[in-house]
This record gives sequence, C-alpha cells and structure tokens, in this order.
Amino acid sequence: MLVKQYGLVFDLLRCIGCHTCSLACKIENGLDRGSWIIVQTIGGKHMDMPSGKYPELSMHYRPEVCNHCQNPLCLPACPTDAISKTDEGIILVDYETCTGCGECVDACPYDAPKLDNTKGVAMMCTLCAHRLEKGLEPFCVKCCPTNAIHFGAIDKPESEISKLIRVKKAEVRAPEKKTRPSVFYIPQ
Amino acid sequence: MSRRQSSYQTIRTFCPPHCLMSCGILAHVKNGKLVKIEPANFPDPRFNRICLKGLSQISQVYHQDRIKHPLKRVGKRGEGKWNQITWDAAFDLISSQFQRIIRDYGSTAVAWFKGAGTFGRLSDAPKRLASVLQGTLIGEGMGDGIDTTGPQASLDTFGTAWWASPTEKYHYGGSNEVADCLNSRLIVIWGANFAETAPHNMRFIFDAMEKGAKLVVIDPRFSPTASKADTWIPIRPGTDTCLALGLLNIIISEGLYDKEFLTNYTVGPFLVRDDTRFFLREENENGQESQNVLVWDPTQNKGVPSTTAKTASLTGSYLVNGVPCKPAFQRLIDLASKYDLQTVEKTTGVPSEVVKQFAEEYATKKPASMGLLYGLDRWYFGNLTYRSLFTLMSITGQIGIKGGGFFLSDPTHCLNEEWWGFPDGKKPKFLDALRMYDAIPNGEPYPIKALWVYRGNFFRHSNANRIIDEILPALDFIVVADRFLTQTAQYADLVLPVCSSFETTDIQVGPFPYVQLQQKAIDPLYESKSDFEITVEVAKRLGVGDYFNQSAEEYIEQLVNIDSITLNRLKEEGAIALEVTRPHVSFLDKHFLTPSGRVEFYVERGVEFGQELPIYIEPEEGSPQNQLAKKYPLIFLQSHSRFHVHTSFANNPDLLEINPEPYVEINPVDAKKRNITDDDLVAVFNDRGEVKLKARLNEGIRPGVVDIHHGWWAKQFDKGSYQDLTHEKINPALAIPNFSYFDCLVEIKKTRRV
Repeated sequence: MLVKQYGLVFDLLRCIGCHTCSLACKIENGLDRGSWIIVQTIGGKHMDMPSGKYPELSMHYRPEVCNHCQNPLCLPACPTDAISKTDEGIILVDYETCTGCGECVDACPYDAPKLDNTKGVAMMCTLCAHRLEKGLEPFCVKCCPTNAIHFGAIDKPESEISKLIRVKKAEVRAPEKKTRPSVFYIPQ
Repeated sequence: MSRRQSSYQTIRTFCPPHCLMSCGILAHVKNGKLVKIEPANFPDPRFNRICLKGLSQISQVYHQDRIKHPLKRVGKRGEGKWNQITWDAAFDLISSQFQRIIRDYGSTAVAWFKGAGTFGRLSDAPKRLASVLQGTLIGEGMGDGIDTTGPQASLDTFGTAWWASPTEKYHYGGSNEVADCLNSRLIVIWGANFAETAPHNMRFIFDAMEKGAKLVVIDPRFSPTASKADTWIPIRPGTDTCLALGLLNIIISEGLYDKEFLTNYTVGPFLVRDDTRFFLREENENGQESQNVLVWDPTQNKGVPSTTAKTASLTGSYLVNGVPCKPAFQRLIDLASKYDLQTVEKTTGVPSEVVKQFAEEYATKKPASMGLLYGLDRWYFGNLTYRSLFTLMSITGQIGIKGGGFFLSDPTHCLNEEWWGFPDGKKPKFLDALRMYDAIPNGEPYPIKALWVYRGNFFRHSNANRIIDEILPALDFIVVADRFLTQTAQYADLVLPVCSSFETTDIQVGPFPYVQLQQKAIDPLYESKSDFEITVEVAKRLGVGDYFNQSAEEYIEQLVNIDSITLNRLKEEGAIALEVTRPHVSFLDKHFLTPSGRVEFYVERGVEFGQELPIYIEPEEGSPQNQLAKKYPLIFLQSHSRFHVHTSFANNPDLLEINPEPYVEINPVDAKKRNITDDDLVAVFNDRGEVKLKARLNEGIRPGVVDIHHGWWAKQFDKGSYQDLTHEKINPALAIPNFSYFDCLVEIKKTRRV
C-alpha cells in the first residue's frame, strides 16, 4: 500500500536531551554547521535548566524538526516554487530553484527551515528521503539511544506509529495554526 | 585516461572512551577516509546504540589539533616550544633516559601513569613493559585515584569489588546487569546522572517504567535524570549516609526488614564484643580465638558458633563467657535509632514525610534496585555512603534476587589477560594515583625520576599549581603519548603522537555480556602510532624486545581465549556474548566472598577508625558546619555532562557547537546576594586557587552549591581551572586512596577580565 504521509513521533519521556539526533542529522546530511533537528530544553532560559523555584522544578526536552505539514505554510510562501511536497508527504527544498530569500523561514511556525548562508539556500529535514529509498529509517531514528523517536506512515490507521499516536495521546505543536503537522510528541 | 577506482567499506569496530557504554560501531570508510559512523548490530537489538560523543568521533579523528609528529621540548617546560623529531630519535631518547635513571636510581624510578582514555588491552602494552622492567605503575585498577570508594565498600560488604574480579572466571563483582532493572518494581538512582553519563542505561530504565516501575532519583541537583523521575529527592550534598541511616531507622522500627535474609546471609546475628567491637569468637582448647564467630542461640540460651547454630538472635544484649556483647544487627539498630526523622530532615534537608514514605516504599516495593555510579564517590567519606546503601539493600533482603541489588553502567568482565600484563609473573610496583602527589615530590617511599603518561591526562585530577610546582620539578624526564596537546602533554619533555582507536586494532570488553573487536578502519594519520607499537620499539631498545615479539593479532588471539571466542569469530560475528545466564544477577546463590561468607554490613577492618558500621560524619570540608564555611560558604560540585568523558571530547568542534564554553552554575538566590547575573565574568576561589569563567543562573542548582561541569580544559577558562580549587587529602580509613573533589568549599564574586 502506498504511503501518503510519513511522520515522526518523539516520546518526550524517553528524550533525555542528549543531542544525538542533532549530530546524527548533521553527519548524515553532511552539514558543516548546525543541524536540522534542534533539541530544545522546555523549562528555564538555557540548555538543561528547569523552570520553577528550587525544589519545585520541571523540565523536559523537545527535539524540533520540520513538521512535514499536510497543510504547509512554507510551500505557498516560497516565491520561486522551490518547496514541494512529495507523494509520500515529505517537504523538500529544490536547492537549484531556492534563492535563500527566507520567506519560508518567516512563514514556518516551527522554525524548521535553516538558511545556509554559504550555500545561499534554505534547508530542512528531508526525513532522510535518500535512506527511505533504500528501505532504511531516518538516521536520527536509528541513532536515538533511548528509542525515543519513531518513524512510520501516519496516514495508515493500523500502522505502529498511528497506534502509538492514539494510545499515548501524542500531540502536535501549534495546532491552532492548522498546519496539520506530521510530527507528534508524546508528552512527558 | 583511467580514473582511480573509489573504494567504500564498512568496518565493525568499537567506541572506546571509558564511559563504559562500549557501543559497537560501523565505520564507513570512503577512499581511506572515515566518513560516517553508525550503530552496529548486536544479537540483542537493545544494544544497537550510539551517542553524540560516538558520532562526534569523526571530527575527533580529523581534528586539526592532532599531534602529527614526535615533539621534543626546546623551551622551558610548559612554554610550548617544540622541535619535530623522528621516531627513531624519540625512541633513542626514551631508552637513553630510562637506562640512565634505572642505573642511578633503580628500576622503580621509572614510572608509568596509566589513564583510562581507552580500555584497549593492547594500548595497555606500557603496563607489560613496566612489569618486565620492574618499574612503577601508577593508576592501575582501583589505584586510579577516583571511582574507588564504591568498589571498596562493595569489597568490604560483599567480598568483591563491584566490577569484575580478574581471579575468578565469570565473577562479575557485586552489581547486576543493567537490563535486570526490568525486573524491578522500584528503581532508585542515587547520586548518578545516567541521562548524561550512562545514557544507554536510560533505555532499560524507561522500558522498566513502561512496565510499571517507579523511578526515584536522589541528587542535590535537578539533573536531566532527576527530570525523568516520578519522585526527585533533593538532598544537601554529602549527607547521603545520614539519609540512608534515617531510612534504616524507619525500616527497622516499622519491622520492614527481612529477618530471614539477615539471619542466614548477613553478619546480623554475629555477636560483637562491647569492649573491642570485634566479633566474639569461639575459643579453642588452647584458649586461643578460632575463626568461628559466636551467635546467641535463644533456644539454648547461650552463645554458639554461627556455623552450628540452629537459631540466632538479631537483637538484645548478652553475656557470653563473661564478655558483654550484642548481635551486629543490634549495633546497627543502636546507630540508626539516632537518626530520627527530625535529625535527618535537619541534616539532609529532606522533609520527614518524604524520608518516611521512601523508606516504606523501598522496603516493601520489592524487588527494588539501585542505580549507582560515582557521584557519591567524590566525598572524603564516600565509602561510608556506599556501605550505608549496601546495608539498606541487605537488611531488606534485596541482594541476590532478580530486580534487586544495584546496577552501574554495564558490568565489565575479564579477558584472559593476567599473562599479558604480568608476563612470567613479573609485576611492577603499584602506586595509587593520589599517593603520587606525595611520593614524587618527596621521593618517598622511593624516588621516581621518569614518567611515561599514556591514555591519560592527570591534570584533570588535581590542583595544577601543585602539579607544576611540586611534581614536575622532581621528574628528570616526562614522556606523554596522546592525540592532543593536553595540559599534561604541554608540560612533557617528549610528546608522542598516538593514533585513534579507528587507526589500530585492539580488544576491549562490553557492553555486558559481549566481547567486541576494535578493528582498524583507516591508516594511522600523520606520523601517529599506537601505544602498542610505541612500546614494542622502546622495549627493543631496552633489550627486552623478546617480550614483545608477537604481532598485535597474535596477542589478541590469546587475550580472547575464553569460552569459545576466537579472533576469527570476532571478525565474522562482530559481537560475541559470553556464556552466562541473563540477565546477570549477582549473588543468586547467596555465596559471598567475605571472610565470614556472609554480607558484612559490620566490617571489622573499620573498627580501627570507628567505622565498623556505616556511620554518618559531616563532610570533611564541604559542610556549612565547617568554620571555613564563613569564608567560603558554597559547596563546589563538578557534575559530569554528556559532552565530556573526563577531559576527552572537550575540544571536539561538533560538541563545542552545542555547548561552547564552561559556566559556573549558581542558584539565583546566591547570585542575587553577590550581584551576579547571567554571563557575568566571575571568580570562583578559595585558599587553594581561583578559576575565572562566566556565570549562569540555574534554579536546578541547590542554594548553597555551585557547579562547573567536569572535563573542560584549563585553556577554555578565562583563568585557572576547576581543579585549582580542590584538594588531595587522603582518608586514612580507605585501603585505596580516593580524591574527594566535591568535598570542597568556595566563594564566588564578580570580576573583570584582566
């Protein structure tokens, strides 16, 4: 059965904020600087810092990545039509057509597109489309040390990932934007 | 025109840093260059794993600061002026210096300092050379100067260190395999931050939590691990033994202890003499003490040897052969009863109701396991803390049961290696790392004039000024083998470029229960050589080349000669599991290697120091009750982050991108008093020294505490380094000395860049 929408689920209880996914993405995609997944601390002002007052504290981590929205805001915002959505629901930037104007950066509610100043283009997570072609999972999924990242077809109600979303009541970021993200988070 | 054919290979190898996670990796090599690292497969897929440091190995291998050639010092020590020399010249220099020093001062005047940057057995070839030459070896095994109080406490209590013992086949020490926590109903992580320092433990812990286990984390700091707990118990640093005694008191007074386990498998019923506090032993016909300890048999109303007793009292006070005595458990009760809830709350800062609830939970939610590492180790009285925890496990009968006891990172196990380190039974003189700070400057008990440092950077250990002013001047010749010009290498007379683990074949162990091969994936970069190759060349020049006349693979073949493992099998299968029952649980047979054959929560060795029981003593320095606290009111901790393994990786560009510089973290309450805000440059200081760096306000830091992540290099600070603040005091009650970095007071103030 053809997959119409791939997606990711991040289990935030299992996410220990280790940045392994960030580094995996960086290496797999040959990025000189930065990564297409950024691990945010949800808590205090800086990395690994909680909110609250000692000892009443709380903190968790949230890996942030392109949401491969079913209703993407970046795509219509692109003046050169460089952004497309594949048959499998992956948002892809065509680096030949992209001018690096940054409209997608402004349009995206998730800070997903990263402007690469040396290449002069916007870049973001491809769900490791090059690995999917070979039947492999995205590299961040493979490398996550706590098994916190799940990948699969979210359009198929019977898929493992869809069951996980239902059973664990996974949520999306900024649902009010009506972007219909394909990236879900199991709350800590 | 023919194009050179491009090659692409994947080679299974091993991530060697001594986090002990031992991740198997698949190295992708394109045209001789390492281009990608991915987690390798294991028969049990839960072990397919990697972390950010493992992935960052590529940029570590190709780091621009790699030492490229042998370097001979030309300026003053530490000045940073070097001449590139050939390997031949370097080997000749080492052999001539060593020969002169051995002639003038004896063989033990040549010392090797062994670090733990990798655990490759071939990289430990210098140890073999030290044995052959009868030199001195600093830092072997538990002589590393840190991480020893837990193993020593385990040795006292269970008769085995908590890691592997090299003498018994398949004897893994006192800890259980991490995966055994899936059998636990309660997991208590006490003084450890697995989420950063042993991330792969967390996978098993989360699996256990999904099965319904509850997670309790005890830590003064709201660590990433604490953020995952069902219950986080914040505690004043250094008071863990007091909390444990409070828990014991509740468990005992509420009758929640395991009477059967205590009676049959611990020294609980052993009678202790009121006068000497040693066990009361049976007298033989000559009126001399035998090895048989007496217990009180209530049915016969007299003291009888424990070996023949049918029943034995755990409590009470008796007169046996005219000697007043009590069962050891009674003495524990007497000790614990002093730690009522109010006292515990006042000392530890843990609220009474939390102590009571946790005590009841630990004793009744069986099986309960404890996750331990070394946060409790960095205290002057750390061994008492670990002993108090082992006592808790024992009196609740959590030892030798599935899902009970304790786990660390994966327990290590042994190769067939005695012959390798100690050929023909020859051994070097061993010197504990902490004793080096007295031995080298004072020449006591004998002079040490040459030092060969391998796999390590001992500036991470202690006060740099003390090393530079006292240790180094006493040494005629210092050779450091490393990949980078660490602070230790900076002060060497000769620096040797060592290749990375990707550039040489070696053998290591782990993750439990696996043995894996570290396979060479790329050629050594620049002029670098392995520690093994370097040692072979030096050995030849010193006339002991016969001890190094086999190839690396021939040695590995012998090292892996356990079960049915062979080098070829390792090459083909990648990871081979030892023939053990899994999950591994220690002491299932209730067989303990102590003198009594029982769990010894009462330790006769401690009588001399008043430490036969795990008593609570206020921290040696890091206590608000210390007079020094008026001047230096803050306890200084060095938590370990996910970005370093000690000083390894502190220079890694991938990791520096995420975590660019050191900070001292301070609670906003303490910061406000000192008018400190985020990113202010501050000085952290005491009478021993000063370090300057930026401050960060963090609510997760307990008021009265400051924290700098361990592992940053001195040059990454504005001035000084964190170890300039710490001390090298040796606790005489320890059989093996241990650094107590955390037992340290400081003050902090805003400062300016000079």
